[in-house]
Amino acid sequence: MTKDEFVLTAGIDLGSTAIKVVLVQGGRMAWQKAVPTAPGQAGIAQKLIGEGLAALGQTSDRLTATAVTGYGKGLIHGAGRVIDEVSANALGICRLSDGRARTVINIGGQDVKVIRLSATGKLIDFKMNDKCAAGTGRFFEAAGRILDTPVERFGPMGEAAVDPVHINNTCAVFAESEIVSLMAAGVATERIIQGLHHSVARRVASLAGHRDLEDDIYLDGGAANNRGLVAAIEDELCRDLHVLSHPQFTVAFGAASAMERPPTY
Amino acid sequence: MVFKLRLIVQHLFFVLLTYGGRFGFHMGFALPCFSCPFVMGCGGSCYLLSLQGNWWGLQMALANWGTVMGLQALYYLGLFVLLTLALNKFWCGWICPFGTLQDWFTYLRRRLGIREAQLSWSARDRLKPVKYILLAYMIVVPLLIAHAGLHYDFHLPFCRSICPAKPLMPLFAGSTRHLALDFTNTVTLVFSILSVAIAGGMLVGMFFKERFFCLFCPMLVLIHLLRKISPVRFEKEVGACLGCGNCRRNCPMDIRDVHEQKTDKAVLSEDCMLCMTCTESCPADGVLSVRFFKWRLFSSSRDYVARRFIKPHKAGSVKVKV
Amino acid sequence: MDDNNKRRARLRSRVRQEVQTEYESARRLMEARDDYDPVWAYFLDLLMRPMDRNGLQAAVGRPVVEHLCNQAPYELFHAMGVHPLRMASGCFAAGRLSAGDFPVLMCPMLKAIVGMQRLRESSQTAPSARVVPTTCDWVVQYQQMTDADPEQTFFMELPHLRESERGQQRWLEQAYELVRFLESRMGVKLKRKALASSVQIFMRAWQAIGRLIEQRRAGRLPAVWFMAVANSFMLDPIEPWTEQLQRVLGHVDAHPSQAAGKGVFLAGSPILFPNFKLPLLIEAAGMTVLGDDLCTSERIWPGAVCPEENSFHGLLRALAERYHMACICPTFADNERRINTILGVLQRYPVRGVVHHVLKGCHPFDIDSFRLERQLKSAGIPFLRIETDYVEEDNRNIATRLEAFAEI
Ligand code: SF4
Ligand code: SF4
Ligand code: SF4
Repeated sequence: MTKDEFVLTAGIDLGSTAIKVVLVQGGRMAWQKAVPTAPGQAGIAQKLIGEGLAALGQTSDRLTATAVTGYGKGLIHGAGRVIDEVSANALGICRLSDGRARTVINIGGQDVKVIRLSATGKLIDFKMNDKCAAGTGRFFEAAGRILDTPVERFGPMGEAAVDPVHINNTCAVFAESEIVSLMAAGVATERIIQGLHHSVARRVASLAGHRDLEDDIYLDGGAANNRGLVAAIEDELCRDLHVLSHPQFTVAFGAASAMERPPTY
Repeated sequence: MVFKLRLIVQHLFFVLLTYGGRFGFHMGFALPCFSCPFVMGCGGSCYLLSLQGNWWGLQMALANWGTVMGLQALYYLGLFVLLTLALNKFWCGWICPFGTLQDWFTYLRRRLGIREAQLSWSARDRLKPVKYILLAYMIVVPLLIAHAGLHYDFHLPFCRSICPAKPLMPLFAGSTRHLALDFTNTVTLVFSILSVAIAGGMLVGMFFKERFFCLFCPMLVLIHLLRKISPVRFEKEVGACLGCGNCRRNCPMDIRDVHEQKTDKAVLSEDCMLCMTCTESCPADGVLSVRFFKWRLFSSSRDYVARRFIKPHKAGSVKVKV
Repeated sequence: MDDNNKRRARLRSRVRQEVQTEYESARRLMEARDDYDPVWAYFLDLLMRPMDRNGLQAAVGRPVVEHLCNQAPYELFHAMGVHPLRMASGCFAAGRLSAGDFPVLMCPMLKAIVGMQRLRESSQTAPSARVVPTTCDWVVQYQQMTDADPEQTFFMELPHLRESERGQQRWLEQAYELVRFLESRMGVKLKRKALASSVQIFMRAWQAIGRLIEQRRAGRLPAVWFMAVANSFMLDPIEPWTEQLQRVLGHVDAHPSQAAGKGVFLAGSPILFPNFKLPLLIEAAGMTVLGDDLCTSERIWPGAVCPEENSFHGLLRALAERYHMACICPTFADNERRINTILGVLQRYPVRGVVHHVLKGCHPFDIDSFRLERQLKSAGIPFLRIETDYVEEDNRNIATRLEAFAEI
């Protein structure tokens, strides 16, 4: 056991749709959990940490430091480190991919980010959508409501579709009417879902810009669990994507990692 | 202020080069400026005379290779090269008495409130080759005299038929001799008519257009040929130029190159006379600079522009609101 | 019909209320800052003036001539005894009065300008004349959008090429035309002497602002204060304004604020009081704006007026060229030297990146930002484009990006 393995840190990611907490031990994600964002975020995060410590059989005095990131990061006081979510994402994916990742695409609740990073996890450049929520997690939620299908089922359903329809809009408002008319025309839900995935993928691809992307592209954020969407983005980018386990927690993990010494790859 | 210093230097040299000989001051026969030797008691002689002259000219050096006479011709050439290398275009902007004379006309025109004549860009460009033609003229004719039997009446072709300094500068020594027509024969008559006509035209030209003769000056070509090995450098930091155009508008020679240059740092252009007027009006810090070897003589700055173009504040001219 | 008028009046008074609130809360925000000092009060007072045209007119004591953009030489107006007032506004609420009549994606500044105009219509003195240099598409449409009296409006046809002979000549002709227009409208004659002294007066202001720019480069002056000073230009007669500026210079020398965080350069679309959201967000993200190329800030005074001759023609030519050639507005076609201003600051000062502001609907800056991005990134300089308008709802999104940018 190296000295590092005694170090126990927590990373909190207060996102727009979910609060994510990870506990990091010995540089690895030891425990993680997400709950929907609700008022009293600081308290919720504290409770989650307690839960995690209990699950690991640790006491709170073993926790050496806490880092916080995400839209709500200003709400937690006294954290060991406050870090912006883009840098945290870069660092997180760097550690989790053993320094292989050069680009990471994050599809979050309210935004889409394309982040380029160095081998040591330093942020090189990033792009992010502006205030419009087109193509983000919010968009899927809206679509799910209209299609009367929970978002979790989008992945398998979309993947099953052989012949996705073409959907032009990524704007939640306009896509809604497009979906309604497709439903009225009797188009199968699976085809609509995969059509949505493709329209989001096109948007991601245009944000990413094909030119200066290196291979070793990773996808994270909650939406990365959606296999149908992953396939659609791979299609649009003409490149393979890597998706690690627990993609939703990369940012929280990155925040926690920011407090450790940088590793040497 | 650079422009004040320049005025002082110009006038000092005007006096020295026009009257110096009377007090035993003489800078020799290879000066890279129009210090006209036809001025009685001048303080130095324009190299163009030596260049065309039958005794000291290039054709002499070629014909009498290795002899004392040939060496003498080479000596003047060498001296000219040295002087040109040392100061390069400073000879034009700061020393040349004929240049200073032209500046007087500009001063007069400004005092009279008459607008300067403006050449179109294309007209300005079309004039550029003229000085090369004049240079060729003054080199070829003496060669023809020496080697092809052209009559000696054609000697000193540039001085006698073109140069406006020859009829005009002696006026400062009280001599109107060179304004007279020479009826000896057809050649001399044609030469003297040309000379006086050009001088008259130049007077008008230099009144309406700043440094009008400099647009045609063959000396400029000779000086320019040596710029690459001269320690005098005029440089631009192209990456910080604002493109404001002050340099172009203020240039007495209407040079566009300094403004337009976007890649190369050398901006000592063909017609430039290193008067530094552009540098004095460039508001971008350090963008234009004039160097001598590694020493920076002057470079542009916002501060300098403020001092140069803002008149001292008269007390009480501003009402302060309280 | 009567009802309609009543309704319109009601909307107007509502918006007037909102405009008032917007200006006042922006002012309070400035006054509540730790670095607030009474020396700034004068400038904050001026920033409130656009709401009250009558008050402004009384304060400057001259007929007001409105103009759009920075291309019409201030010195000319001043020399003719009129006061030039730039129509430009950062007011969100005012835009409500115009939003319904124009394209949704219209430049928010133009929306605000037209809104402010309508707000004043009923109660306040109209300007004697308007001067519109034909810069971007929105500005060109200004007269049509407002149904301003064509007799009163002078379009200065702006050549989009500056480094061509034709462009320069045409612009000089336009300067002469402007003189003629103002002469006939105002019934005055422009004299050489008046022009020469006006040039001197504005050069003194230029010199003072140059020192303020130096202070901000050195990180001794927060961006919002610099912008407050810049935005207040010509909201008071020029000479007392310059005097006050001298006081500010002394104040900053005596109480320099410490540059907090990384230096950045702010480029792009204009930023105007009361909408200082971007500079404030940049500050909150731990960065300091050490320089900018905004036409409402440092670029009110690009280049310098250095006449070759002090004749009328010489002065006018120097003025015309200073306004035309030294400006790096992307409405120009030959604008590759825009980057030079940025690189010049980058070389000399600890600036680590460029934040490029694009007002939604401001096409010239939007288009140009992509070239700038390519150029800067290939030189290894971090670049961040922020596209936004006068609303506040994207503040968090922008903050996230700025925070991440600070880490690059
Ligand atoms: S270019 Fe003008 S200043 Fe230079 S030598 Fe010729 S005449 Fe004299
Ligand atoms: S380029 Fe500059 S130094 Fe040369 S002649 Fe013109 S103003 Fe003088
Ligand atoms: S005066 Fe200076 S900044 Fe202006 S165009 Fe000339 S070199 Fe460039």
